[in-house]
Parts: sequence; structure tokens; C-alpha cells
Amino acid sequence: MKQLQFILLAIVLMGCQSNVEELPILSYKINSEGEKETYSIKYSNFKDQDGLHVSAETIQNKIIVANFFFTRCPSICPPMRTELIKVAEEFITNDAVLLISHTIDPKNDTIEVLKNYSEATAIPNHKWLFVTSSEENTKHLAAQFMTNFKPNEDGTDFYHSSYIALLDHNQNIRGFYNSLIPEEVTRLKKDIKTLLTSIN
Amino acid sequence: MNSKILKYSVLLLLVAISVGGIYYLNLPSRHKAIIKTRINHTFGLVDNTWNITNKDQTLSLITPTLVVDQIYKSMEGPKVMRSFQIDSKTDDLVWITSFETKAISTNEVDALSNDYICHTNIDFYDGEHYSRWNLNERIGQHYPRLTSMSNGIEKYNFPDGYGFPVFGNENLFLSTQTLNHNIKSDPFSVKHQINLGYKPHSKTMKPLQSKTVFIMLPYNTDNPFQGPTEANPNMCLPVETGNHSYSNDEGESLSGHWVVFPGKKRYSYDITHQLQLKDSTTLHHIATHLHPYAETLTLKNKTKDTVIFTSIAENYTDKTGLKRVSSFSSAEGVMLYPDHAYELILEVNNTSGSDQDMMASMFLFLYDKEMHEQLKAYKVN
Repeated sequence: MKQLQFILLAIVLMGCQSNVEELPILSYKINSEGEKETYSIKYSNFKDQDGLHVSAETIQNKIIVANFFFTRCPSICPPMRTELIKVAEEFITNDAVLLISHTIDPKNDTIEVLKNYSEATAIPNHKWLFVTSSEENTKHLAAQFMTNFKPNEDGTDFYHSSYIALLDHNQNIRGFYNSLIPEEVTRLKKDIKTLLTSIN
Repeated sequence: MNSKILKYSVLLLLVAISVGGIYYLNLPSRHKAIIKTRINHTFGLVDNTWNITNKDQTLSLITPTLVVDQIYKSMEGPKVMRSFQIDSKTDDLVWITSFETKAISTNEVDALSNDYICHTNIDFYDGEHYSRWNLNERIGQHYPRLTSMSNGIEKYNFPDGYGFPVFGNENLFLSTQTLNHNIKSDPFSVKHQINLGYKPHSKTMKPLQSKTVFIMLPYNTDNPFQGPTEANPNMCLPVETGNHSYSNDEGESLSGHWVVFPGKKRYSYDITHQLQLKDSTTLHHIATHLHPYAETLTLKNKTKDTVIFTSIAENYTDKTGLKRVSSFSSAEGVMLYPDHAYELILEVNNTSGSDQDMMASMFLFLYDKEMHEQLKAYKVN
């Protein structure tokens, strides 16, 4: 009987492993030598809505759902936030899933502003971090997440992407999802579940 | 007590169904199609699976079943979308060189009329694509549409030696929509099959960059569905103001999807700002998207007063639809210059006797010198 249980467990684990492998590591770039270089995301000098530093420990062994936004954004951020609230709610009891939203407007999005914005989502602070740093630092991190942002010419808005990135527990990018397309958000949730099998 | 709860529950349900029904009936066709398709696929009323195969350097994506139950004009029909990769198991560099979309039967074998294809769009994620090659300043500059195939132009190859470079596991996005201008009989089902041809990396290949240019016409935001006026005869009536509407630097509202009245009409639009050329480059391929009753779409160099290419749309004479739309392809290419002005000129002849909708776009594929420099340095693992 024990042997049968072991075999079944092994089959399940092998199945899970195969699923995780179907999510390729996407955090690689072509360096100045023309070679492919894989990297993991590293945070430096970011603070969350409680004023706490975001460190390697904060993201250790977490499946991270990450995006870039700003609180005064009139265009794509409100629907992005709605979708991210749904994602946070679906994984609310799973401590391995962490959402991180990075402001691209550090001048206006102070810790206090981020705190208020966070509270309006009704998602606990430990589940969804709203983080800020200098513009230079944020641009550097955005490049790691394979995106960028820039102010529009009239200064009323920023260009930034509607894409969400998914990191595995080793801080490798495992997926990109357009948050404005329902099918993509469904795929994101499915891929989070797949990645969870690799750490549970 | 229980019977009261039951009574109120039934009443509430009836009210909800009535309100929902009235809301649904007042929706435009395209929104009804979205709801119907979602219901069909969510509840498995029709085949809701994608069949994706990769064989002989061709990636084939066959869509879930799409139910065509009424006349669907352009941009109205049932549609599906999904992200995909050429080969998620490898990060090998490959070159996309050809595109094809076709309507097929639900048995996934028999060919159907391509009259049931409105358009098939293929996008890339510009963040992932450009960041990987350290071309971050390009992210967000243009809508990252790789190409679009549509009724009348369902298949094309880039000229020999040219392609669009992607890594096997790079994210691409497909959106495909049905069309039905003519069949009013019982509902029927179709699938779309999309084939992308690709080649392994070779140092001899040259990269193309896609830029979309399209005609936009001004409209009055206060009365979007009235006009045009004598003062502004080139004004259009947008099909709807929610999609394909844009603002120019003067705050004027423009629509890229508008109504054409019976008879002949000529439209022109300066597309220099859409091209955003930084340097001189060569144009190697043009795929054109038009709606029925369009006759020609011309790309013109205004500065030199020369025609670069006229795409000819051949309309069916016995039904509504485009039989063929000609495309441009040249390995040698045509020079485009950043200090020259360019325009699109559209000739329309609406012989239907009633109002029709119109779009006019060209997908221009330009030699991408900056990307080529990165590729020259690329070392295969």
C-alpha cells in the first residue's frame, strides 16, 4: 500500500515538475558581448507603504506578481488595479503569493499616498506591497522587469505598460500578461498555481 | 416564511433576468457576440480548445469554434485571442517569415470561404522584445503590432532574406475575428487556422520592423453621428467613438473607423507622424487592410510627389466582400526618408446603396538597421 502511495506521489510530483517547466525563464538579455545572460530580479533601496525596506528577505521564496503604476493615473491603472485585486483575493490565504506594485511617480506618490491607495484596495499590506524609490532606481528595476516608463509630452500622464510580470521563487521572470485582457488574467492565475506547485 | 423567501427570490430572479435581457438586447452586435462567445466557450457548448502544432518550421494555431449566427460586419463578429510562443521549450532565435490565416470547418480539415475572416492580428510584447536586445527606448513608441491579415489579404511571405526575429519562448499575441457580410440562414460554425512560417537563425537574415499607418478622419465630438458639413466635407461619422478614436495635437477628435455613404469618395491623410522615421531606411513589404467597397489605397511620398505603391482591392460583384487586395514585396526595397512627408489616399465606391463602414491601414515592413547591429553581435549558444 505504501509503495502504491509512493508511486502515486511520484507521478503527481513528476506531473507538477513538467508543468513548471512549461513556463520558460524569460529574464534573459543579450549582453554587450552578444551572449545570452540570464538574471534574477534584485531590489535595492525600495520602501513599501509602511515605510519598510524591500529586501531580499521580503521576496525570498515568494511567487511575485509585479506591475508599474502611479496613483494619479487616469488611464490604464484603474482597470489594472481591479484585476490585481481579483488576483490578490484569489490567493489571499496563500502566503507564498505576493503582489508588488511599483510607482513610477515617486515625487507625488509618497509613502503616505501609497498607504492610502493600499487601504482603498482592502487587501492586507503583507499581501500587496506598494513600493517607491528614486526615479533612477525605479527605471533600473523597470529594465530588469523588461519594461520602461516615460512622461507624456503634455506632462499629464506617463507611458507605462499594462503588462504584469510573474516571478518564481528564485526571482526569475516566468511570464508576462496583459492585465487589460481577461484571458490573460486567467492565464496569470493558472500560471501562479503552476508555480506554487514548485514550492509547496 | 420559507415560501415568502422563495417568492421574493423568484421575483428577484425574474427582475434580474428582465433587466439583463433588456440590457443585452440594447447592446451593439459586437458586444452581443462577445457575450455569446464567452457563454459558448465557458460552458463548453462548442469546442473551446485551441489546437496548436509545430511542424516543418510552421506554427499552426487552430482556434476554438466560433458560431456565426447573424450578419457580422467588420469588427463585429465572434472573436478569440490568446498569447502563444513559437516554441516555449527553447530560447533559440528564429525568424518569422510568413503569415497565413484561413477559415476552416469544425472538423479542422475542410477549407471554408475566407469571407468568414474579418482580421487576424499578431502582436508582440514590445517590453520583452526590445528589452532583450537593449533597445529599451523603443518600448511604448508604437503599438506593437507585428502584422494583420484580413479579408482579401490572408497570406503573405516576406521577401527572401528578410524576417522578424523572435526567441522561441518569446510571447506573441493572437487575436482573430469572424466576418459575415452575406449569409442570413441558420447559425453555422467556423474555426480559423493561423500559420506562421519561420526559419532558424542565420547571419544572412535581415530584420524588418513593422509600422502601422492608417487613415484617420476628424469628427465633431458634440454630434459624432451627424455630418459631414459644408465647412468640413472631409469629416467622418465614426462607427462608434469608443474604439479607433484618437486626438491630435490640436485636440481634434479623429476616427480610424468610419461610415461611408453610397457613391464615390476620396480620402487622404498625412501619415508622416505615424511613421516616426529616425533615419532613412528601405521599405520591403506592405500588407493592406481595407473594408468592402474600397477600391484603392495609395502610399505616396508627398515631398517628391511620387506614388510608392497602390494597393488594389478587388470587390466581389455578386456579394459583399473583398476578393483580393494586392500587396507589395521587394527584396531591393524603396527608400523612405525622415525629412519627407508621406500620405495615404483612399478611393471608395460604395455601390451597395446603403451606408457602409470603412478602415484603411497599411502595415509597412521596414529594414531595421538598429536591430541588425544587435543581431550582428549575437552569438548562438
